This record gives sequence, C-alpha cells and structure tokens, in this order.
Amino acid sequence: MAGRMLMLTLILSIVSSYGSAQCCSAGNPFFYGEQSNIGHKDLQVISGYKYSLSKQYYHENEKVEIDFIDKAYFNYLNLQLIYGFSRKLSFHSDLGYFLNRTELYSKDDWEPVNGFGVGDAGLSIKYLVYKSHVRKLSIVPSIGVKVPIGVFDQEVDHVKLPITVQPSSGSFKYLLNLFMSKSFDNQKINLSSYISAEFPQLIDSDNFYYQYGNMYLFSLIGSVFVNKNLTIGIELRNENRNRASRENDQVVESSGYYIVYAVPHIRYIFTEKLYFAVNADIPVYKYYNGIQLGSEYSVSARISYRINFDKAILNEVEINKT
Amino acid sequence: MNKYILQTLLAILITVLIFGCEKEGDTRIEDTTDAITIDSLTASFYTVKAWDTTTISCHASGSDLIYAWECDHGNFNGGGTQIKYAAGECCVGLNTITSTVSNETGHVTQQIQIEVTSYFGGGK
Repeated sequence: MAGRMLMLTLILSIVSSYGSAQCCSAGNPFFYGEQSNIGHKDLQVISGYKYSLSKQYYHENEKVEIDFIDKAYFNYLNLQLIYGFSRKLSFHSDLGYFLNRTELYSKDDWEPVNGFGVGDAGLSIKYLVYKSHVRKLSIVPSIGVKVPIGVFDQEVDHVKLPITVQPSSGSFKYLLNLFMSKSFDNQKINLSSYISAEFPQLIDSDNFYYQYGNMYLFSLIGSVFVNKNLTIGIELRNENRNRASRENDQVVESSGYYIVYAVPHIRYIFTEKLYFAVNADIPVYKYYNGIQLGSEYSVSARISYRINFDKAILNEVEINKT
Repeated sequence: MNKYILQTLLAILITVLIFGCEKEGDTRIEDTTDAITIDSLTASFYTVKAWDTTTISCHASGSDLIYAWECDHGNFNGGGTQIKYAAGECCVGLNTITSTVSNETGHVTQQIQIEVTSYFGGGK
C-alpha cells in the first residue's frame, strides 16, 4: 500500500501547476510543479529553471517570413511552496523571476530589448474530492489566482519595453483546474489527465490597455516506473487561447492559438524526499490566428524536497530524549 | 529545527511578495512645468504596415531635458529625441505614442497616433 501511495504521489506530481502564457505574452510561463494533494503537514519546496525559445513566425499553421523579431527567449526561475493542511487539502504558492526576457531583431538598426524581474505570484488551493483504491482513481480539483505583484510597465533608458518582455502579467488571472489519475494492476504504469482554464483580467496600467483571451488546457500523461529511482513519461498537452481584446472592445485578430505539445519527462528519485526532474515542451502542432511568433521549444529542470513536520517533530523528540 | 525552516521559507516568500510589489524604473515626475516646451512631435510615417518602421522625433526647448517614450501597443527602439517604432499584426489599429520631456522643474507630455495596418493589406 505504501509503495502504491508513493507511486501515485510521484505520478501526480508530474503535471503542471498552472497554464500560462506562451513565448510572447507577459507573465509567468507554464511551469511544472505539483498537482497532487500532498500529505498532512508536508511541506514541499520546488525550485526550477526554464528556458524557452521562439524564432519563427506562423500564419495559421504555416511558416511565414517576417522581417522583425529574429529570436525571442527567456531564462526563468521558479520557486514553489506547497503545504498539506490535511490529507485532502493543500495550499500551493508559486513565484517566478525572469533573469531575462529578450527580443533580438532582424532589422539591422534595431538593438535587442531585455526585460527582467519578478513575475507573477500564484496561489491555489487543491482538494482531493475522490479517491478509490479499488478503482485506483483519484480526482483533485483546484482553484487559484495569479497575482501581478511583479515588474510591469518596465522601461530602459526612459523607453517603455513592449508588453511581450514585461515580466509580470499586469493583471490578475483566475484559474480552475481538475486533475485525475488512474492506476492499474500493473503498478509500473499510470495514466492521468489535467484540465485547466485560465481567465485573464483586463490589463489597465499606465501604458497598456489589453486583455488576453481565456486559455483552456487539456493534458494526457502516461508514465512508467523504470525502476525505483527512475520515472519516464510522455504528455500530450493541448493549449487553446482565445483572441485578445484591446480598447473599445476591439478584437485582436492576430492573437490566440491552438497548440499541441509533446512533453517528455524524466525524473530521478534520490530519496523519498528528494527528486530531480527535467522535461521539454515540444510543439507538434501549431495553429495561430493571423500571424504570430511561434514557440520553438522550451526545456525546464526542477528539484524538489519534501519535509514532513509530524515526522520532524517526532524526530526532534527522539533526539531530545537521547 | 524544522519549524524554523518553515518559518524561514514563509518569511522569504512574504518578503519577496512585498518587495516584488515595487515597480522598477517608475521614475515619472508628476509636476507639469512651463520651463519646457515641446516644439514638435512628428513621425516619418503616420500610417505603417505591420512590422514596418516609422521614426518619431520630439523636439523640445528647455535645459537638461530627458526624453521618455511610451506606446500602448507595439515596440520601440532607440531613445532620446528620436525613436523607432514598429508594431506587429497583433497591434493593428490606431496606436498612441506618448512622449514625455522632463527636467528638474517638471515634465510636459504630448501624444501622436500611428495607424498600423494589416500585413495582408494596406501600407505606407
């Protein structure tokens, strides 16, 4: 039973914490984290890094040559703290920092622009509503919000940077998520699904008046335990974002997209408390409304450490006795 | 021991949240002034196709002037009295460019509008 629980927890923890912006919109990128409800009085700390690259414009699903942005990329750090209030209820906080969000231009007389700084803070609550050992099925919905605490309206040498390199979203985003996991008699295999909806609010700053479209995400994840330390998996993730709008309710025709990613995962478990994981987001199908700069790929790595305060307190008592 | 770890982590999180709320680079001077006059704010093209460049120039009178630039949609490049502006297909429409000229006495602001037309039709 303990092994099964450990496996379930590890598989659950593969999936993403939030759906979010792609390469060229403000705010935190999609970053992998925990979706499971962790144990009572467990604290999990996840620290991660992500690199993302975009360099090709697309008109709908075909490449198109546009003489403007040659390459756009970012380097992003992420810190997540997750605490289990009970066996069913957990709290998740998330904070991002952009080392850089950079655009390089193909036009000769255009210099690169570079934004950096704190992104958004994410807060969410997860609740294990259903768990059956017989059916080997668990369901964890969650609600959350992204708070634009970070840098927005950033400028360099008194020139405002474009919205695409601003570290923070500039507006609240509300999140609804649903995670389902199904195990089998063969305990080495697990299937799970993650559904998410993101509702960005209006950006109404000193400089920008803009509202990103809602984003809907559907993900299927298959994972295999190669051995007690190594897990590999593949995820198919579909992201749909509606068109954005600007002042006077004007719809931004060249915004919104439909993308399918293949996301291979590898996770190495050092101890029950500590693991290291890497994954790559590779778009296998892209459809952009109008013409947009498309995402090429991203890679991320994260390390997770878990502390159980019940056990920790017991250990301290034991130490004090001796 | 571990409760101190938890307290430390929460303190770090709260600190980052608090200090993260401060916007960087927001050095706008709020007072207007008569000591600065914007003589002209012009663009090489007032209508441009998506991703084409127009150059916007601001000439002002006053001493020790600092030129700041903002736009509601699109990208800038350069700085000072002259700046390059272009916007992609995402920014088709009438976009507002704001030039703010400031010195120790205050600031003055002027705006112009650039129409960005679709890559699929229209042009300079």
